[in-house]
Amino acid sequence: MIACQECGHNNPESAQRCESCGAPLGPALYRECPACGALNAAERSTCSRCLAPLTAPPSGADASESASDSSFTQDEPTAGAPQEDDPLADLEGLLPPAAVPDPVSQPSRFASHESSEAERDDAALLHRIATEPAPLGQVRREDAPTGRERMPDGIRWLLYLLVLLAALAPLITGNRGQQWESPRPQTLLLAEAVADIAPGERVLVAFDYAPGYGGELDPLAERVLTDLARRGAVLVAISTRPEGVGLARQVLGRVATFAPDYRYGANYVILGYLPGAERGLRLATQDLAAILPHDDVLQMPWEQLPAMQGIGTLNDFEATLLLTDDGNSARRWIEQVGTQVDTPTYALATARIEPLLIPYQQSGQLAALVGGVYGALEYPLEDAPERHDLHSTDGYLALLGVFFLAAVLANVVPWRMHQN
Amino acid sequence: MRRVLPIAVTCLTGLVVLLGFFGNGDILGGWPNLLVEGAAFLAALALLMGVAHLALAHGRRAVRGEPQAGYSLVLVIAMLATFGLGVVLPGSAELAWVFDHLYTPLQATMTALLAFFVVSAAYRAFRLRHAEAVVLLITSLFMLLGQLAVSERLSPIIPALREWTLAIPVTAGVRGILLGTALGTLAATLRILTGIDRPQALE
Repeated sequence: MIACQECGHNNPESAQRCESCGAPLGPALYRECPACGALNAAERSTCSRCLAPLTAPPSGADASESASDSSFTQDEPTAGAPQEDDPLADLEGLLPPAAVPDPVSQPSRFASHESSEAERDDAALLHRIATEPAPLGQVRREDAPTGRERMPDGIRWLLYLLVLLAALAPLITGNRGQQWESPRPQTLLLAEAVADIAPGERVLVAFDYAPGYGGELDPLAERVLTDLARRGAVLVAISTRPEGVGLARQVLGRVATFAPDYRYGANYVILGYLPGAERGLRLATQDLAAILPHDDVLQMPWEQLPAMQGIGTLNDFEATLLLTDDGNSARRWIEQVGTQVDTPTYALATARIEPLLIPYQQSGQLAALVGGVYGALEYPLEDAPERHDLHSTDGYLALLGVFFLAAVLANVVPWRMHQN
Repeated sequence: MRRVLPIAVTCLTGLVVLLGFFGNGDILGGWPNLLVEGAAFLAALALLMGVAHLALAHGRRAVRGEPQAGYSLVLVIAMLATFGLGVVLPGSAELAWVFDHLYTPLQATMTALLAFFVVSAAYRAFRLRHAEAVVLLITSLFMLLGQLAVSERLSPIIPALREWTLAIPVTAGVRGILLGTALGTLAATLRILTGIDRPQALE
């Protein structure tokens, strides 16, 4: 591959001009590590495989030439020259002389063809690429922006500073943008479904998201689960990710403080981590008690937990609430559990994977799909728990401005650099 | 035998687990469950071995005083402390403290950095080099605007267009990805079950 110096596009070795922007390409810029022999990009000062120092990088107009000259230190065998590594050298004296053709005197069909320096370099490069394993860090080299595509440091600092200011915007503006919020149809659908849950009915809550996305999903989970808890629903938490158990403990612990007399064991239970991915979920639809016979917090059997009385399989729940930041995890629940139970599944997903789940919502496999922080802002709940991370409407607005600015700068700055 | 046995075991195991998904799940009795439990046990064992190897490698670095050995020392201490707490005091308040005050903030910090990476990526992606880049720029900024509540105040068309974009073009693309993934999984499964691909073979 030859990375275009203008736009960074990776072109085949045979390309003379960039396939993306049409800029002229130099020869392939690889340099061989003197220690391990790995091929490296010409601009690297250390080997991407063994970190050994490379020779001085080529610069300016001679970069390509010097790179191709210094890249391959392997001596090219020339016609008529003796081979240093003769595989039959050890057999000298054992075989009759006539049986071993003398390579020096052997005529070559290509003897009359004088290959150029560039052709020899290309052949050597092809040989090395075909036989060498890819050097470590090659992907990073290919993805690294080059030339005018690279963001100047000043622009980078400006945009990063503006991102920080955007995060602080609600503190400055008082988050006035929140007054424009109005619930979307999917959020209202979820709220209506929650309102239909009768006291004592059980809801399975799948905590299938990483703590890193807690800032986005925790507020939504807290509001919906608080609504369920205040209506007297019994919440049973489960997770197909090990860290989901800790998240369930965090979120349900806070929910218990917002709903009066909501106690562990009687009103909510954390069953724990369900291993086995697809197969584990399918087994849970058949015999949940056999897989998770104890809860995760008190390590008590189901018989001693009032919240678990009368539950045998996932069909014994009134609804499934899926909290997820992972499309594959959501698919497992919908395809392995949703197809086996008669109860509705509601997905509370990060905005990142919301588009991935729309086909399931359109087909009816998801009864409702609510995404991101906006779901929490829009979810109607009286005396909702106060969360400072929901005061972010103005921050998103400011961030949109930063993206607009990035789009303008991305087109103006390279043009100005080109002019200069 | 050395080549045939792994293939036979793979094919048989795969078929048994696959058949377990059909019907009511009782076609082959408890065999599919037993095999899945075995796989989960093996995965746990592999994880344990990986953790042990990581601790040994970094412990060695720390003892030898190699460059950046301090990081290795912190890693080994944190790993052993968390592992010990998890084994000795499972579900304890101490373990919860580690999760609440170390693991969660660290993960949140890494996720928060995404904002800066996305802005850097936007700078590269929003450069108008081709017609596709123009479409990408317009769609990205439009979807960002449509995500905001203020968009409805600007014009009711914006949220409607956002919903249309998500429901029609995006869903069409996602359906294509889902179908492709399903077909690819099917093909890969068949290749392994029929012995064409042998990732487990001792070649």
